[in-house]
Amino acid sequence: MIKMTNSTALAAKLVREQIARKQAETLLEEKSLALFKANQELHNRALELADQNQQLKLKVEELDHTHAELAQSEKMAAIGMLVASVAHEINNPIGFITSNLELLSEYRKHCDGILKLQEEITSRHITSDQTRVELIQRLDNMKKEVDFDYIQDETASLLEDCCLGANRIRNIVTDLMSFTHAKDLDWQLIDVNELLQKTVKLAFNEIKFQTDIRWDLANLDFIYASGGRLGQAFLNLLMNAVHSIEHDGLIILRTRMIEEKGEKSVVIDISDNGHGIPEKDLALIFEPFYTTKKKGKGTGLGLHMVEHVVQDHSGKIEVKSTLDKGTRFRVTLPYKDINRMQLN
Amino acid sequence: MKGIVFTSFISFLENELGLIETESIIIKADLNSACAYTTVGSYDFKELLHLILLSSQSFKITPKHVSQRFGSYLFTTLTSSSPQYVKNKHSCFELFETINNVIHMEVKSIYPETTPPRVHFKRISSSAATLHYQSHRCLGDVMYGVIEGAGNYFNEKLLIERNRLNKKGSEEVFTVIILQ
Repeated sequence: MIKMTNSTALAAKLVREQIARKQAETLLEEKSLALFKANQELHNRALELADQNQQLKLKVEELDHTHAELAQSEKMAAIGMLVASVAHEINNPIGFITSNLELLSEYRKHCDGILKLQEEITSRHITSDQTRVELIQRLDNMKKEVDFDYIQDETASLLEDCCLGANRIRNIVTDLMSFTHAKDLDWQLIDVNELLQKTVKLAFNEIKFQTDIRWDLANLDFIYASGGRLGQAFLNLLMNAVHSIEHDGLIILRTRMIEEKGEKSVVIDISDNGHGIPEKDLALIFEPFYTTKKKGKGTGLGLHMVEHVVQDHSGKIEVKSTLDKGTRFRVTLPYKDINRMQLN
Repeated sequence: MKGIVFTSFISFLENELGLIETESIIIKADLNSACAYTTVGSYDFKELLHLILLSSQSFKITPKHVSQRFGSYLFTTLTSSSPQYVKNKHSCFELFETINNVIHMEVKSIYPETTPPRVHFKRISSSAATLHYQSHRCLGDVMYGVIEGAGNYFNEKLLIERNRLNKKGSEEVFTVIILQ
């Protein structure tokens, strides 16, 4: 074995370090290649991701479109329900107006005979007093025969009823128009109590057979709101309440003003004694497409739309429910800021 | 095992025994790698054990004590190559707390093929803690030295007690008490 000296040790170290350097260089080359490949893969992945992102954007657009279509169909379903209710409300006055007009038409025929006879009596051609007396006698008989006094009284009453019926139809149509013309532009100062009353009136045909309505309305200041959209929201809440009731139903509509930290708000409670909402569903009821109704009965967008409308009014909606006891929806709409915004 | 441990060991030998003795040990060891280590490479840890065993004859101390001395030296090498891990730390406990969840995690993310030892730190009081060491390489003696090195670095006098949990020494609990 060679005796190790300082110079042989240095030479050995040099050789060792040269080998190490070569190893390091090889490793560096391998790593650089791996890095290059990884970089290329990353680039390809980025392209794939961009493509997927684009597809996702298209899907989101498609989804938005579907959502809008479904929202529209929900609106149409609500309008359909309204139309059915309104048709019934209109049919009733139309029924008695038609029957009154038929009676009036009959009465007019009787009156025609009497008028003709009266014309004859007053005619100049009749010179003989005896003939005139005979005609007057016939006129009296005819009047007795058709009960002319009754016809006179009844005609006035029938016409008055027709006017009332026509006015009722006109009011219903006006109310309906205020709902169906719901546009974002219809923001105005509105009386929430009056809006609630209109809503109940429109849905009354659905309500009246199984449910009593109890009113507890406070004096409210007008709020600045989209009457049409808010009306639709109230209608949805009201119809949900109606549908949750099977018999002996009671719906309580309550309004009041509250003031918190100097800010006034209008609070609207719509409570029912229906079957209630299971606790597990409470967190989901405002989610779009969530429904507990039977297939085809609800799109699951009703309460989602209500929440949307309330949020558009800077308000909030809360729900409390107990199974088999009932549900209360509370809508709180801020008053002051919105008014200030509008009036300024 | 990562190359930095091997390059540190060679430089430890050079510092402690001089160049001629170091090269003699390397020739005697006759290892596959020829001890041509780089910090970025990975090598068989058995080469380190062999070098420790051979150098103990030159040191004239037991391999256990060579390992411990090397552990202290390794700590200084590691802190100078990666100063970020000791920056803003004021005590060895603060550093030990980060071994598993920060230091070794970063090492594994840079070198996925490495299997650093698991060192679970548990503070018992402000001046006492345990380090649960687990490694199939059974280098508890080196770990002991690393702990000592940390104490020296932070100027803390440490009392270190070892408790082997198995015969092999792949699992040990170090109880560390800061005396001042």
